[in-house]
Amino acid sequence: MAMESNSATAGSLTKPCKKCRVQEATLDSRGQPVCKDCFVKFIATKCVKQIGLLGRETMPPCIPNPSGRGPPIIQIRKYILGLSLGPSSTALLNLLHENIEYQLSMNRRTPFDLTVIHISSSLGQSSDPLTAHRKAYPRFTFLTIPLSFALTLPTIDWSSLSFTSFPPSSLSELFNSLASQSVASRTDIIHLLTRHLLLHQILTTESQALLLGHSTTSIAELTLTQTAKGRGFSLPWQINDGPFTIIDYTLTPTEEKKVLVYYPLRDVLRKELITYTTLTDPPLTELIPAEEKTVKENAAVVSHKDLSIEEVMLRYFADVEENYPSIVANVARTTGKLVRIGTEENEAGNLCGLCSMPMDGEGDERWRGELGTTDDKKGLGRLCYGCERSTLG
Amino acid sequence: MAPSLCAICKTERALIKRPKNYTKLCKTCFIQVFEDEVNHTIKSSNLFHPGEKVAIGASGGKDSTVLASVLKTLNERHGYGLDLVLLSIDEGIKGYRDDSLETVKRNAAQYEMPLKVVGYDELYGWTMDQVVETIGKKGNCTYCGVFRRQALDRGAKMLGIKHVVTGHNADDVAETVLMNLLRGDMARLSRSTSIVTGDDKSEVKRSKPLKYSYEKEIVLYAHHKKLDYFSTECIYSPEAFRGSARSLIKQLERVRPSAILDIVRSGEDMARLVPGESGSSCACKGQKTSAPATVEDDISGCGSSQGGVVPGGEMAAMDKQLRENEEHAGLEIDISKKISESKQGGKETTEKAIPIRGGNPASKSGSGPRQVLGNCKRCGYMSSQEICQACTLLEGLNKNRPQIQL
Repeated sequence: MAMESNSATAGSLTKPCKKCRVQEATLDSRGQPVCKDCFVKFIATKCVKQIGLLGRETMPPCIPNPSGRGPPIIQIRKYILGLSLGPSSTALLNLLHENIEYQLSMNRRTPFDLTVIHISSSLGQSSDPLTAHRKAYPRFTFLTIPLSFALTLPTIDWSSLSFTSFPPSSLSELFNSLASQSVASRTDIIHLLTRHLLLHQILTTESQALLLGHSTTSIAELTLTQTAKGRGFSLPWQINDGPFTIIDYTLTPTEEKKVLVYYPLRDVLRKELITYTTLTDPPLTELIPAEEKTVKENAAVVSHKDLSIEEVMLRYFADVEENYPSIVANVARTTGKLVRIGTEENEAGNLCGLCSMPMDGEGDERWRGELGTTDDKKGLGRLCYGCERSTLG
Repeated sequence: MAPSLCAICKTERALIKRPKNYTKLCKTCFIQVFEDEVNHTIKSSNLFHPGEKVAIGASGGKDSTVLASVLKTLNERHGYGLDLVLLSIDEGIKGYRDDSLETVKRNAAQYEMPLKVVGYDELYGWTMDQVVETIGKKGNCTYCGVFRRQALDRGAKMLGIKHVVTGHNADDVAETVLMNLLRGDMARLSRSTSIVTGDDKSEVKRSKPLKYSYEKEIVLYAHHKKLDYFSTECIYSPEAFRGSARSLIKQLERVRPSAILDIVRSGEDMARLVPGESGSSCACKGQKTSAPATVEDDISGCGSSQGGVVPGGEMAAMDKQLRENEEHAGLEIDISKKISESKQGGKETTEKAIPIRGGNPASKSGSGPRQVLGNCKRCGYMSSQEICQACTLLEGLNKNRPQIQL
């Protein structure tokens, strides 16, 4: 019976959705013609699966019963979301919101509270970039943090960078003091500082995990980007979900803190997320600033000196994603299997003072590739290979 | 603007901007520093021992010509005590090898080194021209790569030499690292960056003394030393997977010249992160330079080093295969076995649970059985499979031969 009615419905459509068979297929989902609803549902399922995995890793926090007696009070899980304002993190914001609304509509407990954090690198920004977001998602707390706040972070070992005075008083002082003055190095350091600020916010907001909106495509891109920066050793700490150690260098002795980092959209391609932002009601595209929407990969290259490694990879993967989406997914999946070495020894001396990733003593000993630089460019030995490259050249 | 002086000697006018780090050097200092760096690589990796007989895999191209020249210079300057021999492979490609072999012959005279030429026809009964006639231009680089790899080792064996050096440069190694990441090939990723492949168990060890040398600097060195080399690309050169990685590397190099070396570094470090690798538990701290690799699947000089399953190594073919795998998720083991049966052509290969290289990418990405080095049942050449790749490919070729002759 069901079969008959399905085929009857399908028969009246010019191109029925492969999944529900009751609506017209208007979109392509991994080679299958699907309708808008099934497309959105597919993205949501991928995200909810990962959020569920995180939920099992994190127990809701408990506080003792204030009456002094009775069972402890179970609180709500607290996560933070890093919002770049781009399509992927905006999509994640919306998906998390819908997940909570759904749970509440089923008369379940609120699954988690969310603080949304945007790290702003633009100087002298007068208007709040998150006004529209606050209005659209009144349930969540929104914070904008200037990138320059990273200079006061206790989780960076400023003494590992050879400054005359540290920490530097401004971002421009930081960048001008670096031996490496390339756009590639500067962009790398901006990424490190942004990540540091977000990780530190887990502590200040007393949250349990940081959620990042990276798509499958971004993770594949990140894999090759970090490889090209000489950061291959720490890849498993950067692309996998799980705990990450940060250190408070202002305390004596220094104190280690473990924080959780998750990528709930790791199974969704970037192009799928971009489509998703156009399908919601109202469309999320209204929340995405124009400069985030412009397709950077199509802009003409004026000078390669003004490009970062990230931009080169963005262009490369835009092409690969379009033509060979399975290869993108395969890169992300297989590099996800690389194992983390050195988790046992994650104390201050074994972590890079700048990026907080484990350092690779064995790799240093084996390394025979000299860049032909002079001795005065040698670091203090407390930075990893990739950070030495970006600071010392 | 006054002409800038060489950053090293500070007396001569700087003529060369080093591609690797943009320092400005005079011709003499550039040649010196290039040779010094190769010497550093050789010394610190303990590549050679005094009195060792070493065959230089010579194609007549820039890399192997520079390698021969640098090794001759360093051998005399630093008293390595090496007995150097040029070893050339004649693939049997008309218009390509004829000229480059002439170059190698001149090199032999210029460097006063003995030369041995081994032909594909005498080794396999097939020249590359005949192979292309049979299977077409698509995927023939697989044959060439597999055949060449064995040819060098067999040639070395004939000469009683246990060490072959090849001209692979930093760009080649970096390219292989990115290519293996794109292919999701963890097993190869863990081997491709080692400076030495093959260990005490193998009959012939391989090394790449120019592993850290930039291709652009090799070209500059050859130019300023006025070396005699042959610069035509192989006429069967494919637009393979490797091409995609190569263009990416060239772009990265323009953005940050150190990127090539940085990728090599990442590749070395990531080799230890591949599941099943020895990792930090290795007792010989920092000295682990030799990869106990199966000899067949090191990087080949040109074209692709695909295991013959995805002909030509086109990304589209792999994408298609991956999609099929996704659709049949959960049946991965069965699928890979089926593929191996149909592609390998020989029934013998499926008798045991053989780890299939280049088969289902999902099955070779680390969790699969470890490859064990053995010997090919037919030719005795070392192989991780019962029948080595060359014999497998030859079988396919020989089956087709009668049809072609009709």
